[in-house]
Amino acid sequence: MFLKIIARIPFVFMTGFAFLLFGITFMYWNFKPDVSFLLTKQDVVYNPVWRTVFYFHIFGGMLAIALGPIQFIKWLRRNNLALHRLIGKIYVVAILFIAAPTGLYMAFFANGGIYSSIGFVIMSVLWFYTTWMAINTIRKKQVQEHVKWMVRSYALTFAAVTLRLWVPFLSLVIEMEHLKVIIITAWISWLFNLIAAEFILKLNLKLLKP
Amino acid sequence: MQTNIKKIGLLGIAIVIGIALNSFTIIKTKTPVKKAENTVILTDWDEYNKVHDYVRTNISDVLRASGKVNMGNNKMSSMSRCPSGYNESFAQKTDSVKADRVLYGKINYYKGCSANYICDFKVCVNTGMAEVKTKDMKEFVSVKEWLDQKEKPTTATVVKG
Repeated sequence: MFLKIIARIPFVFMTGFAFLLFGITFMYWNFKPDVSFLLTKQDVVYNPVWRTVFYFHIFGGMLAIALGPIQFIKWLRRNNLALHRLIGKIYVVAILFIAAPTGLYMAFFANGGIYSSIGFVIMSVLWFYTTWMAINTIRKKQVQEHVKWMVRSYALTFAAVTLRLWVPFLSLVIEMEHLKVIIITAWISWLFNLIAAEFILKLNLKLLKP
Repeated sequence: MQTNIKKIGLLGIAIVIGIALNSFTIIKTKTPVKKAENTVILTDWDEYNKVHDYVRTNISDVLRASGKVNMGNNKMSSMSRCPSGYNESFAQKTDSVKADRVLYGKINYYKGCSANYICDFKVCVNTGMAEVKTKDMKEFVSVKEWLDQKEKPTTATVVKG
């Protein structure tokens, strides 16, 4: 019993941070051009295409970040498969049709220049690919493979959270120059998540078993 | 068959990305320099880092250590995709930042994505110059003199943008 609770602590933390980010992101919905991240994008914030893509991106991202943890709840998968499927469809649509393509577009305008752009472009493509593989495998009834691809997909979704943890760590604790922080975090925010996802999959947690 | 389509699709995405990235202007980090004996050849990036480190050591670190520039403490605003803390930006383009030039710029303190203006600076690494001024001052003064003018901790003005 005690071990079961201990094993769930990382999941609780992950869910907590996911919902925290979901809440923080609401600040953008006043559609003002001088809110938080938009302050750093004054060169493109008045570009209607970029601005529209940005709002689609955060809309899709918010759905994905909040819905992801629900899908890992074993009880739900066993007792209400219909709900699991419905939430799953929303998660997949949010990424494949909204967040990942818009993320790819926004990657080309990333702060930090070409080095950041490459990091975010690769991330967007991998995000799309892992999510697409997750839906592809479940269509073929390959449940175990589906779980693996979903873990990878959410690891990339969760990069939105880890980015916001790495950035203050490197800038305030390590006191690294801002440009370097921006470039480095464009890579480590998702790379370490993918490594962690593979590690979790190697552990073969009961939580992830169908 | 389906696997081949997937592979072709991924290759297509990779090509599009490659072409798109190729259209971007890349900051040249290396300039062709004739190699001469007993000459230390610095790339532009090295030169930029040298000047930037000078500004950080001689101005930002001094301001931080003085404790006279109180920026408040809002930890939630630091959970952001923008770096927090002191940031030095040059008025000149990156490839013009050289140790033998007199350079201008400004120092901001970031709380997440919000920039708080601290001061303007004027530096020259080779001559050991490091001076600062705020917008209400006419001339640049040494960092020590500028700090001495600050009687008590003040919160800098929030500048949006």
